[in-house]
Amino acid sequence: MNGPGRSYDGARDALSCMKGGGNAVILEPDRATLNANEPDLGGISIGPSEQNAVLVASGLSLDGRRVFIWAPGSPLFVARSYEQIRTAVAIPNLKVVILSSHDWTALGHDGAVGLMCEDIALMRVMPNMAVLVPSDRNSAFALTRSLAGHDGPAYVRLSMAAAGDIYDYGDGDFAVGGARLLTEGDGVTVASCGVMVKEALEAAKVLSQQGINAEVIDCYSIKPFPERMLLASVRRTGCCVVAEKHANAAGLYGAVTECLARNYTVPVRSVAIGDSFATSGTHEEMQEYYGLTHREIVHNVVQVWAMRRR
Amino acid sequence: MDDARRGELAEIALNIRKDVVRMAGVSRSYGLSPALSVVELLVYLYWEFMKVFPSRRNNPERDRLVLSSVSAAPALYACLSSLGFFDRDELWSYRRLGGMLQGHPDIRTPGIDAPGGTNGLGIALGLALQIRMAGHAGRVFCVMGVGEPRWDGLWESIDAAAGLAPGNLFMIMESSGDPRCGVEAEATLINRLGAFGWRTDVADGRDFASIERAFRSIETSGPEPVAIIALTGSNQRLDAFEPDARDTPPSLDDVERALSELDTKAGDHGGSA
Repeated sequence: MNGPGRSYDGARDALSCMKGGGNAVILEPDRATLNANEPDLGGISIGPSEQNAVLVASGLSLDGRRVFIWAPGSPLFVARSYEQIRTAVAIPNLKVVILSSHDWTALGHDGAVGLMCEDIALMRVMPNMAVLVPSDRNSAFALTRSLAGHDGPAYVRLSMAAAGDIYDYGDGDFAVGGARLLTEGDGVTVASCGVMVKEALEAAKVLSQQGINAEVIDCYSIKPFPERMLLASVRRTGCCVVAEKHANAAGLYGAVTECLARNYTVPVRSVAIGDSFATSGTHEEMQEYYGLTHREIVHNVVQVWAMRRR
Repeated sequence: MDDARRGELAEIALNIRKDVVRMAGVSRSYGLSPALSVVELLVYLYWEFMKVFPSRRNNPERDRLVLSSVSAAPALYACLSSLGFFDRDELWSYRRLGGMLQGHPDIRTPGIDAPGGTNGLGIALGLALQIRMAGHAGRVFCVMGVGEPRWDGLWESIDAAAGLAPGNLFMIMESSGDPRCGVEAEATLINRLGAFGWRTDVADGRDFASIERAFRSIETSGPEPVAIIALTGSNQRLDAFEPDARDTPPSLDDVERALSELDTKAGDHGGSA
């Protein structure tokens, strides 16, 4: 899992930069990986207690302080502490950022329990909650830093997959509600997030050889959703494929199809995990097993392209 | 505390109870016991012990109260309005559409220090740490209702509070001694909290002198968190709202009978007590 481009590293670097300066506190509900227990420097480690961690974060933020919960472990964190996130953070609209350090990449052998792929859905349906899935180290770094100025709660899903960098170091143009158009074309819109952005770019290369020019959008802000960029793109292309390392319900595919149903309908296909729980295996095996690959994106593009709105 | 002051506090408590009964009437709520049982504790904290500033309510040096026992919210609202945090008329739109006073405490309400509706001790711990980090002197008091110790999540917070020991965190744990509620005996609570590294004390939550003795003893405590087990409960019930008060909202007649019952009980205790 080690290598360049891990969004996990970008967010961790951003938090390390924030320590000891300003208003932010970093709370670790596990063994300390980021900070010793040094409240004076803005770092608190409280051991594995997910529900309590969210409540403590709520209390810490009540006077306006920004709290980052660095949750090493699977996105299961948000399922275990869902009621506390809802009652103590989202309803009072407090400035608490929850960072899930894995998209289950490094946890492959855990099987269904640890490999949670419904986290984006759970967080996206919660009012007040922003949901962010950065695609590489540099965007994760910039996005985490930008959250220091965000006025409300946010969920950030990171990955330990070494996908390689997509953006340059120092590119700071990432913010809640934003998106990036990575390639331009008039054949198909490929909306993706997280580690699937890299696969989408690979797919675009293959498609261009077949004469289909794909517009790849990095939809790193799933909520608020960058509606304008998506709509402008599908008006040019007339069809869309959504790629995400998540269940195919209520995640990025949900955000895209809800937006299109309201505004401008085009054929859409999803490259994601179906309505099933994951199984144990290595990261690479599961990418293939669940079809989270650029080949699967190409396959789906060919289908929607044939039906595209003209 | 002299007898005169005790009489004054008893008078305040009686008026708070009456407002709670009236709120139950206008909001057609039932299940008044949790709100009635906590009245003396809240009155003591707000009128005697805590530093609060109704006219400058964001004063950073203030003490905070976290109400974990949300069924007691009407008593807290009645106290806050009586202290001048907001207009008393707000009490009559409690739990109504468009009203300020929500079923569960909301931090937008003046005087409400923390969101209600979930384990309040974790929030109180975070608040205590935040006050310390900001260099202020404020203390945090978390009021736990009967039955809350049965919730496993609470013990995560009890453990974390002992470990982080902010030194300004106090928990008031109601105990009714009523086995029907699945409530632990005081001795069990004291043993469990002690095993987690908490200091404990016991008070009669219906008696201001006993409450005062327990709270004065925590003023000299060390960094470890302190819990006061407060016996409250059955004598707080109002016959007018029994026996099936939890099933049907009170009628206007029930409210009138409850108000006169409160007056009678106060009279039995010698005028103002």
